[in-house]
Formats: sequence, structure tokens, C-alpha cells
Amino acid sequence: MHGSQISSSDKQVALSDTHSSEHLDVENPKKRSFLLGLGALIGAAGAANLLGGGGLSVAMAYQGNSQSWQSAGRLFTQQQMQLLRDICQLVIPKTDTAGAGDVDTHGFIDNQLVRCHANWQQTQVVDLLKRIDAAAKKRFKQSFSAARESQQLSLLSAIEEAEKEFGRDDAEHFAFLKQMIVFGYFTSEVGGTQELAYLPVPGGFKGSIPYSSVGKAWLVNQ
Amino acid sequence: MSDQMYIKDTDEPFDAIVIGSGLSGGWAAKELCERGLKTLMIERGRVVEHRKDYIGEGVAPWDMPMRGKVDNILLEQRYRIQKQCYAFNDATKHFFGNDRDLPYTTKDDTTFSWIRANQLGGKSLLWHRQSYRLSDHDFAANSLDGHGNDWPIRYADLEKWYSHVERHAGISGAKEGLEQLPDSEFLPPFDMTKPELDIKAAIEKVYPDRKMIMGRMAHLTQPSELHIKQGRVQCQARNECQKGCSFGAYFSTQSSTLPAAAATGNLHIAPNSVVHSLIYDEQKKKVRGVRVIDNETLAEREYYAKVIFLCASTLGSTQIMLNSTSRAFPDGIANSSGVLGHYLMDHNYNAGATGDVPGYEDEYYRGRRPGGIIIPNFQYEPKRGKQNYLRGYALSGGAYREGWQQNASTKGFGEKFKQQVTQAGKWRFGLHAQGEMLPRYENTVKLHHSLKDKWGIPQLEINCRWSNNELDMMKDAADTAEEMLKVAGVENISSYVTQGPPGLAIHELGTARMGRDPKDSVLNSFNQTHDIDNLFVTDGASFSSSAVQNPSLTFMALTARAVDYAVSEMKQGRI
Repeated sequence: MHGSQISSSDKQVALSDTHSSEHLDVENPKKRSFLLGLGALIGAAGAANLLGGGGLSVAMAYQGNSQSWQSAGRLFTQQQMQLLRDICQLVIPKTDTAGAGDVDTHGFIDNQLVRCHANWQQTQVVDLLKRIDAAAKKRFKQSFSAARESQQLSLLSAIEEAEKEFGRDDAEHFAFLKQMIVFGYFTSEVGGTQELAYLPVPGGFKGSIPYSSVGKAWLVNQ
Repeated sequence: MSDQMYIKDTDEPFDAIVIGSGLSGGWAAKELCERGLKTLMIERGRVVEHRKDYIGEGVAPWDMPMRGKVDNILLEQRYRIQKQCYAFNDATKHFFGNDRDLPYTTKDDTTFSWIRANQLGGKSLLWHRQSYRLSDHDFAANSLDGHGNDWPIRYADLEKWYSHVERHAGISGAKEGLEQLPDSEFLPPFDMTKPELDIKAAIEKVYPDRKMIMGRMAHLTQPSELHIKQGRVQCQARNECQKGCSFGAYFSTQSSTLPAAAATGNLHIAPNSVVHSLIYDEQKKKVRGVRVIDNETLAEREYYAKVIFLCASTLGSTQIMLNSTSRAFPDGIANSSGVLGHYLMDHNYNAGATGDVPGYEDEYYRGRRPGGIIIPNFQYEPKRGKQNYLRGYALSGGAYREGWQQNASTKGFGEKFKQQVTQAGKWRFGLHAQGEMLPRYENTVKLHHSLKDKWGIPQLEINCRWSNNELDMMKDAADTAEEMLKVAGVENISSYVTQGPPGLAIHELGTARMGRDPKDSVLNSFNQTHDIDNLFVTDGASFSSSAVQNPSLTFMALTARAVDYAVSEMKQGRI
């Protein structure tokens, strides 16, 4: 159901796809089908039709831009967008569903921080990315993006555990970033409908059903 | 609804004018129209059409650029007060008032968060539809402990009007036979979850007088023929009610009272008409009409009628009355008592306790119930109360399973992390107080002596604070909620007392209260002003005490009863 059975070699391919700009080709058929998937409006279209309101046209107007890391964002430089995209994809990788980097979670975070968060939180995330980049250069003598996946993960684990060159503040700031990644991914269409259970119109309330009959959390819980 | 329903300029007099189109105004209009009166509903805001104007409805999170959150600049410039409301988000913000255009002040070091909804339908679009009758204990509370004046009515006066409005609105709930919370005319209740059923049993075993019941809500769990005729269907359990409900599965002006009023052909609506004041005829000692300022052009116009119903919300109605001065009423119309603007109340939501419910790993629910459980006030008469404060509180809450948001703090990366986040987490249960606020003369709303809004109307100055009675009550509510959770086997309990300002319960009440004595009240037992026979106030301004229950159902019943009385008085030539 969750694609966690994907083989490690498949995963390497998928990850290398997303890790350097040379390998990212807009004409890549895999990529294109994914972009089409973003517009497919699973679930939402049904609800919008049922309601007969303006929901559908609003929905059709919006598409994520998985290429957004190729240029600077509103808050982040191009390099930071690329770094953030790598982190997104490491936290929530591509399985048989897209990863967080594939659905523009980095672009979402860039926009969300500027529009919905305080200046000090924006600064915190920018500083965190700088510290990650500096640590990668020191540890691996190359940028975070160019390092091997195992190296990248060991570095992120060190932040999460406040180990080695990272302190408690870094761990806290990273926890905040991780929450934004989770929020961004699981409120994307892929995260919300393929990874979680989404019922736009449940049709009524049942107080007791077996959890096993759903097997995952609701996108909208209460 | 026909285009001729909406009007702007007219010299033609109406039989009745209703000021406001929210929950009370909608009921006043429906009842007046159905009795054959040519009725004008005056609304200060824009028209909101059922279904068509619910722009936030059915929009998935990924179709909202900020996934439901609201832009900082908008929050700062337009919604500094409104954003405090639990229902405020990107998909509902257009139904909240714009703070920049709707200024008010608060006195000295007091705060009051005034939540506004100035459009057709008013706050009937925004309320969470909790619907409870008051009991004789509530109507007697003021006289028993001497705080506030005695209500001039008792439960028997309202009982048939509760039934009348409930059958039309549709209230879900279960018959419980409780002394302090009379049963309504119910549609079936929503389900409790398994943990809730077990917690209910555990609490009631130790505290037989504390019943845990399903919340009573104006949602159609099983629509009657009457509801289907109104164009309404069963609740779909989306719990996104404040975005608008095209199913009409809930009660609002748009879904229920407005179509009924419009169907009579007697209804006219003047939207975008900000009421400045009432026009008083000193010779006849009657209200003759209403002076309004156009919301957009600021042009002035007047409307005339034989009888006027003020349903502009508690503070809105009082503001209009205070601003309607004449030689006979220099301090506000129908204010010979001098109590107009006093005894402002709200409910106090500032305490509770939450914790984890162990077990139930294979239990889940389907759909989003638009409300939870409640434990009605168990201190409903003085002998059941605590020693250190007066009156009581209800506890509301519910059980739910933590979801992916809570899992975001799970450590780790990669496929395993992705998989873990998608799993439902542990069950949680909470109880949150809704406390009664005593009516106090000092809690006041006045017109500011110099500040005006953009329509040239003096701003309100609110001077309201929680008293020690409310503060002591919240301390007790936090402790009591914690004890009850312990009894129910809830773990890792944390209780809280917060310092939220009055206003946020959105249950503002009082300021033109009912009473028997014209010397200490504004309205008589039929919501008619003591001073002027053809002027009625039927919204929350009329309350003599706040009780513990959510007040909306009582607004409806009082309004329907007042219209019945007014029309009978008109027929007998007394109005």
C-alpha cells in the first residue's frame, strides 16, 4: 500500500534523478507522467462536481511546480532551494508514491515561510540551511547535494540528535523544518490522497469502525 | 429568490422591519412573513447566496496556496481580532468582519474580542450549531443568589416555542430526561466513539449526577419531510460548516429561515444598509422607521414600518439603540431605565484538561462529527454549587485519534519515516469548561465620545472583565476536569487555566435585558421595550443571565414567541 517494498536499486535511481540538475529532464517521461498526476484531482473533482460550486475551476487553476528548485525562491537562494529539496526528499523519499521533493514541498515551504510565518522563523530556517551546507563542506569536502545519500542521512541524523557539531538549537530548528516538510507533503494531493485517507464528503459519521479497515490516518482527522 | 426581493430606495411603508439577518433576524423575518406581514429585512453587509457564495467549500488543501493558513499581511491589516476565532481560516475568512472597517475600543486595561459577521446570514453561517434549551434553574438563578435581575419568564413560557423552532431547524440529540437541560424535539444523535462510551460509563459510575451526553446540534442526522421541503439533506459529516454547507444539512438563515420567508412573497431585503439609528415619533410615542447609511456610497436613506424588530446581534442592537437619541430619550432609545449597555456577558472557555486514552488500537471512526460530547452543568442550583463561587459550568470535549500532524515529531528519515507518519496515533480525550458569567452592572458597552467609524457612527467602547467569580470557577473547572479524566482511566493528564479575553465564546449577551420592572430593565417578558410598544429586541441583548448553555436556540425561541405576541397585539390595535 505504501510502496515501502521498492528495491534499493530502484530507490538509488529515483534519488539520483532528483539529486543533480543534469539528470533532471523536463522531457523525462517519468517526470511528465508525475506532473500529469498532479493535475488529476483525485477526490477533489468528485466533491466539486457534487457541490456544483466554483471548487472545480479553482482546483484546475493550481499546479505544483517541481522545478521550482532551479531558481531562487522568495526567501531562499537557488542553492538553498536545491538543498531544501534534497532534504525534503531524504525525509520523505519517493516510494511507489512521489517524495516530498517531487511535489514541490521546498517551493511550498519557501512561500509559506514568507507569507504565514514571522521573520525570526524565516531567518531560523535560512540559518539552518547555511549550517547544514557548511557542515557538509567540512565533513565531505563537497556540497550537501553532491554527497552520498548515506553521508547526507548521517548528517541529518546528527542534527536531529543534537550530536557532534550540532547543538540543541539546531535540533529544535530542524524539528520545525521537518514539521513544515510533513505538513507540505501530506497536504499535497499525492500525500493527502495516496498516502493518507481522504474523504472530502464522508456522507455521515460512524463512531466505531476497525482501524484495519482503513489502515492509515485520515488526512482531515476531526 | 426573485430579484425584486432585494431593494434599495423606497418610500413605501412596510408592516415590519427586521434589523439584522443572522439567526434571530432570520427567524423574525420568517415568522412575520408567514403571518402575512410585508417585511423588510435590513442587512449592513453584502448578499450571500446559499451554495453560490460558499467559495471556500469543497476546496482541497492542495488547491489553497497556503493550505488553509492565512497570509500575515491580511491577518495584520484586516483580521487582528477575527483571527483569534477557532473557525477563522483561509476558507472561511470572507465570512468574518474586516476589523479595519469595523473599529471599536476597549476601556482602560480591559480587552474584549468582538467576532463579527456582517453579511446576509450573519453569524448563522459561522456558529458551530450547538443547540440547548435553558431550564427553570437557569431562569431562576438570578433571583436565587441576587446577582442580576429576575428573568420575567420561566421555562413554561418558552417550551412550545423551543419545540416550534426545533422542528423547523432540526436538532440532533438524545432524550436524557435531565432536570437542568430539558430535552428538545430530537433527530437521532451522532454516534459516540468506543472510548467515549467507556469513559461515559466510568464517569457516571463515580459521579451519578454528571451525565456525559452527545452534544445537541442543528445538523440533520435524519432529515424530516419538512427539512427536505426546505431543500436540505442529511449531514455529510465534513465538519467544515463555517465554509458554508450546500447540502443545507445544518441550520443557517440561508438554508432554513430565509427560503421559508421568501416563499411567502412578503419578504424584502435591503442589503448594504448600515443602520445609523431608529426614527422616533415623539407625538405618537412610536418608532416610525430606520435611518441607514449605504455601506458602499455612504448615502443616507430611510425605511418606514409599523413595528420594528432589532436583531442586529447583542452589541449591534445596543449600539443602534444608544445612537438613537431624541428629546424623550437623550441616552438612547427606550432607555428610561438607564440600564441599556450594562450587564454585558459572555461564556468563559478558559479551563480544562486533556490526556491520553490507552488502548483501542483497532478502533477508528469514519467521518468528522461536527461536535462532541458534553457533561451538562451539575451545579445547576445553589445547593449543588461549590462554596467559593456562584453558578457553574458545562464540560465539553471528545475523543479522537492523533494523526499525521502529531507524527511529524517522530524521529528518523526515509521510507520508514514516511510510513510511520501515515499511521493513526494514540487516542486522546479532553474536557473543556464553558462557564457561566454573572451579570454585572460594571460590564458595559457605551458609545465612544469622539471616535466614529467610516459611516459616521460612534464606535462602541467596551468595558468588560472576568470577575473573581469567573476566575475561581475556572480554577475549579480545571481541577474537576482532571479528577474526572483520572476516574476515566485517562493517562498523562494535563490541566490548564488560560487567560483568554471575554468575547471569544461569541456568546455576547445582555446590555438590553428583559425584566419585570421598567426601572431596571429595557424589555418586558415578550422582548418588547417597556418604553415603546412597537419596538422589540430579540437577540442576545435581551438575556438577563448567561446560564451555561450555548444561547442560540434560545435566541430562536424568544424571537418566534415575540413575533407571535407582536402580531397579536397589532391585530388587536395596540401596536
